[in-house]
Amino acid sequence: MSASIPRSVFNNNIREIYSKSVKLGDNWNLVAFDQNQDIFYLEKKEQQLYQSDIITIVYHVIYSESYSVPVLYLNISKSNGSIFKYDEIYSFFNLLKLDNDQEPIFILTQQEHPILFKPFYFMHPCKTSQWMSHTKLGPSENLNFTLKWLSFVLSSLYVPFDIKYALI
Amino acid sequence: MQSSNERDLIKFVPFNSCINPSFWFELNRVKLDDYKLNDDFKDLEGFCSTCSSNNLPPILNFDYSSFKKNNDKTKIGHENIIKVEGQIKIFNTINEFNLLDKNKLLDEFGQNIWNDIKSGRALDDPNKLNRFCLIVFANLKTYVFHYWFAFPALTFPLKSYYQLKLTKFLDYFSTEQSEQILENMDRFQLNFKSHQSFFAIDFESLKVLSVKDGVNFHNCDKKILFGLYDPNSQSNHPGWSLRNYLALLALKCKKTEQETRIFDIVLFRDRYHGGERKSDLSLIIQVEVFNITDNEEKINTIGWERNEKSQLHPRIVNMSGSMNTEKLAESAVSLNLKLMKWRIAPDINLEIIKNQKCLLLGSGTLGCNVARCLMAWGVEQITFIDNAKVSYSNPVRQSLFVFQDSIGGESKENHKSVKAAENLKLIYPGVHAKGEVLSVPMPGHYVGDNIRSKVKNDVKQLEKLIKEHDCIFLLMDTRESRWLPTVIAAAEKKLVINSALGFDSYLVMRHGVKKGDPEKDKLPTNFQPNQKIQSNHLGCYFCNDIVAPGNSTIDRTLDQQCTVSRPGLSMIASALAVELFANVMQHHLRQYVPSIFSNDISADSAESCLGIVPHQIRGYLHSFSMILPASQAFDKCTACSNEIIDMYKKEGFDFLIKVFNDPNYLEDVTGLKELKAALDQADFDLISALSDTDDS
Repeated sequence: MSASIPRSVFNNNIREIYSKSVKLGDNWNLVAFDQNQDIFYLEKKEQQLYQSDIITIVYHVIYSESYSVPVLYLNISKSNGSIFKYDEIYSFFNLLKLDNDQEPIFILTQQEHPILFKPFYFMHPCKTSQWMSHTKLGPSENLNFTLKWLSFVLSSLYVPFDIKYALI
Repeated sequence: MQSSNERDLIKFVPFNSCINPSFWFELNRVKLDDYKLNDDFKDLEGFCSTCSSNNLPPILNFDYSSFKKNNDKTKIGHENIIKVEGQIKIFNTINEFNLLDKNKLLDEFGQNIWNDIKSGRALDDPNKLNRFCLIVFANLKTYVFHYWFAFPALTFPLKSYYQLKLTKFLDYFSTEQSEQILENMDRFQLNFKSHQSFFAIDFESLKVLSVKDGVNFHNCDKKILFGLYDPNSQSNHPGWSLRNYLALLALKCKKTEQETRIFDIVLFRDRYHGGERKSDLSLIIQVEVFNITDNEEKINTIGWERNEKSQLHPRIVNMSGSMNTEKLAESAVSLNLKLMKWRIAPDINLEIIKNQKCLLLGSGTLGCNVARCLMAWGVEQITFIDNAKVSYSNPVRQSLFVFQDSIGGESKENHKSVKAAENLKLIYPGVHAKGEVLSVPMPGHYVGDNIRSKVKNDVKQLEKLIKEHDCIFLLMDTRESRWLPTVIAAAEKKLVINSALGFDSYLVMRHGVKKGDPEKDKLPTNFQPNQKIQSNHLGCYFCNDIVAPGNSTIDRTLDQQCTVSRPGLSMIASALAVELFANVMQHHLRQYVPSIFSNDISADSAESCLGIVPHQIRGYLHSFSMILPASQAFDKCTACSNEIIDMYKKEGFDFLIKVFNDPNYLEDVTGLKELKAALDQADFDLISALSDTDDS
């Protein structure tokens, strides 16, 4: 079974995640970018204190047409509106910098956001299908592919994700 | 948490402004398209969350939707946002921004709030108690924004608010009572279109009322708790919103004979924790409030936001990294190269390539393609030299020109070197490209007296350009034009990458780079094939004239004047020239890296992280093949031999002009003349020797 999903399944997945988020008081929001073309994505905005400034972290879960999997986009901005640079992002998420022989666990790179056309950081989806197929995907009726993917992706960044998402 | 029973001055925690990058994008657009030169105050909206989480101080958020008042229906699930109305003034000059009387402005805002309180408008719509003012100066070219927020709050001189007691909400009320209140709160909010930050609770019935109703009931002696959604959850102190609220209550609630009154204020901090809605952070404080009348004489307004250093100064943010398209291109291009480093070749040193200043002699087929390829490697400084103008046949083969460039005219500049530099910048604005119009003097091209001083200047300019650059690419279309730059570069010990085209064969090579130490630079006499050659002993383009390459493959020589070549050839040769340059740069010895001999690449294959660094690459399209010969310098070379370099250094232009006017002079100087004479003699002996062998 190939580990990828069509857009319709993705849209259902994120609707389900949104309704769970409402029940849990987590802050995910559903954004309808273009209802005609069926383009929806999940957004979460979080604010926290970091290095004596209030930073805003924005996560977007978007569907990638070319890879048929969800993709995570994120951005961190300071209270004056400037966007974190590469080294600041890497430092914030405690990612290994790629010199020497160390294999990074994953990479966050900067790219134009496919819907908003603004610079965002994202996790390249080329390997998503591969590593998702190594996980137990379970019977397809019960599976929320995007929820499972999201739990992996967020935990790799050490971003807390409530386990109750799997229980309710 | 203990209830404290002392009488403390209340500390109000001020708002922090938090700007989303999209705010600046939209402000830019709005100023350019809508407001233009109008610098009146305009309406703006800020956003506050109804939920307190993460122990944050009060935050007011601003993003692109702050400018529009329409409901953004595309976002589902944003109901827990409180909208705060305010005003923005975008100044047209930094002077006006700086010279504005900030105290006066704040007093005006404060007066507006006081008027709303006195008139009862604030009772009808208590959300008006929360407002803000923003002044901005936007430099729309550099994307630097000066901005300053103010959150106006009324204070009365010599009168202060005191906190008498602090209790947790969940201690004040029982569990059933708190649940009931929460329910009533949610139901109360449904009565209004926008979220109400201020409310009142009837102590008996636990009903949640509007502030106006609460004040009326209070004035009828019912026990009422006044409350607000407290934006502060970081500490036990109330958020900024409470200040103006207390002023409202102080005026509108009925007075007693005493000088002060006591109110129970609910600091409501709604939050979700562990998947459940909790009120554990909510507090009830007992506040001592003074008496005021409509005719208060002096009212002070405070509320300018302190900057990052806690000073009362505006903030400055430089958004050029996110908004300046050229900067975005720059970071995208460098990212591309970095990905190469991260994914494939971690040892690669991109900085060293980026910092090489490259001089391209010849802006034709080779020049254009070499320049594009260098730019793709991240090279930032590229200088073109050529004396010709763009001709009609050029654009198809010379990738930096388009048809329009070949249409010359009196006022139109279409020198190849200049046009190439211009067009290179169109592809990537971050490149520092320059075009010099210069004729390179050549041996055998007579210099008459009338042009002598011009030629002298040309030489001087060429010398200066070679000195200023790190790597010299010889990409011209004649053999003799390469002579002078070869000599100068050899004297200056610069790296030279030379490329020449035949009809369907090409040469790409690096010249040997002398060390400048006559002992070390002296050529070894026991030259052996299948051996490494030190860089300072490697040959130049002109060394190969007499000395045959070590490899025995028989092919045509390239050193013929040839401007007709198969179209694909120049792209191959240019690419190889740049990649050879890259390999040289990656080797720790740089231009001093020795060369392996011929096609033996099995040993030393990992010379640099990009691979081997050959001396020459000769390719042949008719067989799609390539060989890697290496040759030692010729001690009688007409360009790079020590005699020539020394003469050039000693006599300078006087030496050069002799060469330009008579190339045979070179053969004299190097001793080539005697060598040829000796060879003629040897031929004679050789033939007589051969005639004795039996070759049937």
